[in-house]
Amino acid sequence: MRVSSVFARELEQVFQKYEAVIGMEIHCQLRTKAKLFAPSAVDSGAEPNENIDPVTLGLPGALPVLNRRCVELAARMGFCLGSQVNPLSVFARKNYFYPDLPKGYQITQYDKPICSGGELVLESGRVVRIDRIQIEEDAGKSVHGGGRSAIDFNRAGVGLIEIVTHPDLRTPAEVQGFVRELHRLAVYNRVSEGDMERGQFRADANVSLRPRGSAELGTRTELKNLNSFRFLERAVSLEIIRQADVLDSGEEVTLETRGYDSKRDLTYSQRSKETATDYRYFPDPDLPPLLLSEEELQKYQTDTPAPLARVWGKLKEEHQLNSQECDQLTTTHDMVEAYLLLVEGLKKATAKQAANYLLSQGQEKGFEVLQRVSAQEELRLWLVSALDCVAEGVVRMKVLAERAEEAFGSGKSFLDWLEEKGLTQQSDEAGLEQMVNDLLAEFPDQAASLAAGQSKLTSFFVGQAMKRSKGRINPQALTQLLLEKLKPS
Amino acid sequence: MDSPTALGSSDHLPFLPEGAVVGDGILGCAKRHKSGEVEISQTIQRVLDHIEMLNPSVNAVVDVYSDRALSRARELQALSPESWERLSLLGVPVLVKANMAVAGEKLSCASRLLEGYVSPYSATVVEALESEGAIIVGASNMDEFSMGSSCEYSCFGPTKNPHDHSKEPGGSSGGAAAAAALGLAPLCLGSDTGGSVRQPASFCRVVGFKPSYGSVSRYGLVAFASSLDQISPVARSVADVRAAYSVLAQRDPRDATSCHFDPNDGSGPQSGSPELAQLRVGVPFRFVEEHVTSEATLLAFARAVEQLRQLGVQVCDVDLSSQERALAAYYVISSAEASSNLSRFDGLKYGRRAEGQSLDEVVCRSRTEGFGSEVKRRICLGTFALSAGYYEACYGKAMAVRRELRSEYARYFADVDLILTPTTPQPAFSLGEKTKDPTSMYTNDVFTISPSLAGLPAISVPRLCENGSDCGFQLVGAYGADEHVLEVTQLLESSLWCGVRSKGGDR
Repeated sequence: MRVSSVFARELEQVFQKYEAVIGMEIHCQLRTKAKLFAPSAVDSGAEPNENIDPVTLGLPGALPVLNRRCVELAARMGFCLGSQVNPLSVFARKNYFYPDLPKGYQITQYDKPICSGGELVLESGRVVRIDRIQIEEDAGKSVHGGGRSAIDFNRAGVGLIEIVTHPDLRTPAEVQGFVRELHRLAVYNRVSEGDMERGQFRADANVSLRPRGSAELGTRTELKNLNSFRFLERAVSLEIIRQADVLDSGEEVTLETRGYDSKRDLTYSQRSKETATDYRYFPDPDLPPLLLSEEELQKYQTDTPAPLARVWGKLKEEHQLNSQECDQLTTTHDMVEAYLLLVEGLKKATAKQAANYLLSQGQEKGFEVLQRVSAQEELRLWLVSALDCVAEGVVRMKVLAERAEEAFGSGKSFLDWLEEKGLTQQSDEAGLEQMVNDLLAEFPDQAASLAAGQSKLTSFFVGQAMKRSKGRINPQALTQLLLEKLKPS
Repeated sequence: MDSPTALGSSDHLPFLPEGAVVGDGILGCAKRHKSGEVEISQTIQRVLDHIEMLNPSVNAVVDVYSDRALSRARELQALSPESWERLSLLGVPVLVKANMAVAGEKLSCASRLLEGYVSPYSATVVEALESEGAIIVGASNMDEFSMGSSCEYSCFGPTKNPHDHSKEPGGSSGGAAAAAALGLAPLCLGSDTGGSVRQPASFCRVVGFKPSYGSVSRYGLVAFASSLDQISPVARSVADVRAAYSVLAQRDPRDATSCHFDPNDGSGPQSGSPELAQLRVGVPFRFVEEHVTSEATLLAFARAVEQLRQLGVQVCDVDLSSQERALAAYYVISSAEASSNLSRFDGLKYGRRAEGQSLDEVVCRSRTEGFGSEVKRRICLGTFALSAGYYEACYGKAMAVRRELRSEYARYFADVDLILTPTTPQPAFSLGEKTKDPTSMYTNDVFTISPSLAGLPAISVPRLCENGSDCGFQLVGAYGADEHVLEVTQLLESSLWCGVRSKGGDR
């Protein structure tokens, strides 16, 4: 939103006259141990050319063998997007020469992809139709410098899915919203690690303009490899404005591939599509058609986690979390599963309290706690009882959040530990009443103002009470009693 | 010349070196090692000596792995006799075609482009043979990247037919067939895409067997046309080829097209001991008459059919109508696949790299200088066939023909057990006779191509023509009926064909 505001005025002007039509192609690296057709490891942190083998390098005589895990993840993405996962799909060769493409062709899918159709509905209500999802292999990486070029084949042959949409997007903000949502889905469903800096999630945008009201599509340009959400929206905005300028000056948009230069903040022509290579697609004779049995399809569907939207909605509606909390707790499927397991065990505490505790130290810390909770039953039960203590008013949340580690480490129950440390709150009515009486007697002016409706004075009394009790007072109980006493009888 | 006794003689055999290890076949060779009669190193040394002595006149062998072979021989010799018993090919010397990867050895495909390239890994077939105690002794000559039918398109120069040095040996696995005929090794591995083993086997009067597509792993075989290539044994008898096949045929997790049937469990169609009297052999009479260009071949073929009848075999006519289009479909499909398979040879990663100012220039010049004329012709043909706008008319149509052919064969095999044709339309041609006319070279594959397109097992067994020239016959079986084809051919071999046979072997 912040970004688009930079161009808000320009875009608004463009959109008075033109409509932008945008379709996306997303390349998403699959989260697998081995490559798509080769035995080498997938590890973006490895030394250059560490993860190579005869198949990855396309050595003479080497043959590809499909890693079924990639198929499973691609199918899962399809199920998440409501696609049809096809029982028969075909791998094809896309032929072109490039040094980082070891075989002289890329194995991809062409006329028979693994998934067809599907859609993603954006928050705005915009429905983005998915055209297809195809499985394909990544290329290596060329490194240039000092007048020399080198190639790192670690990434060569790593499994990707390419998700292709219909041209259903209309604004740069929608583009960003769509890609963010797709990224969330891929990461949440463990289809991809989604590390954009490492190129694990890359977006291409096909952008064209047409006069408002026209049904015909204008000439498009393809913006390549936009690898951050921010750049994505910026590059699309710039391209829309650029195309509008071209059209306004009476010229025609050229069909071409463009890149985005983030330093100079502009899009530039990379190559004209007219001179583009004929890829000579044909079915790869080294790979039989990919057949998925009814059982496999069913298994893949069952293994697909519940739709993110449903879980998110449950957190928001049933657990009464705010949107940010929902977002944070549903970052990955593992995280939300652990959270739900914890909440299920609570007796007195609410889900909201559990969420507050988990996020009190930041999302990362919360994730860490959840990981430990799902691995360690003992910790989960301890945490449930600790949260219940908080809910009963025995101790404040702050104490649990700050000292849970220490308390759990003592090996005692939370309550025993609190008592030993003298940290339990005073909730007994006699003690509390005495305290309130004392305070009202001591501060008659403040009491009168509070009674007259200056509710912010509540915190003054709470503060005083805390000081006297060394923090062992239950603020809710105190406030309640205080207001009762001041109520005109 | 045509009576069974005459056929059984070995007058037509090429000169066999004295003490050739091929004498009693590959199992006999292994047996002598197991019994301790002969030391493995002696055998290997003898083979190396024979190659040194005989190869210069024919140029069948292009690389000799002396060090590897001799050290392997010593390793095997050092094993216990109990371990020897488990190795069915103990100490059997094998020559592989120069397109199969042997770890630590050069892999050239007879191309300048792969000059200096050493494979870091071994093909599955090499591992399979070695795990049974066989020893790879060297690489045999071939047409560059298997493209050719005469073994003349090789960067190492042509191989000569050992029976007549003015003739070519057939191709592309010409080196393998010539080496087998000369007895340089009892077993040679070739690869057959559209007849590349059967045709040279026929021209060199040895036995060549192309298994069902997928029954032998292609991992480590440099691809020409992936959907057709099949590693195929070449030897001097059906028994040898059969023994080799039983080691070679196995499922390989490294080859996704590796077979869907287990060739060794007997579950293939029509297994069980065949009886000649119950055998039904189909012969496409009209097709044979139309395409055979040599009177002698035609006559020899007619006599062979007559002999089959005399043996009690039921011979019936089959109409191979869609075969007419097989040749065209084959050259479209194989060239299309080749154009893509050969894309990896860009001179950047391995092999010979040409000098150039830019990336494009380096790649372009490396390929221009590295590939020979026939390879370039096929790449151009294949690139065209796959081009946008021509794909459907060329590749799409060829694939449709291929599907038709498969179902046509399936229909035939409901009625017949095997189909018999000559292996080639004519005997071996003279060196240089066909290289100026590529399409006439292509038509030499007319009988071998359609079984390849359909993925069927097919064997070529030798027989002499009236005029003393060579003419092989091809027996084709149903998909997966490899054992059946071998068994029947072996049965016929002893009573009918004049294979290159041993004297006093153990069969």
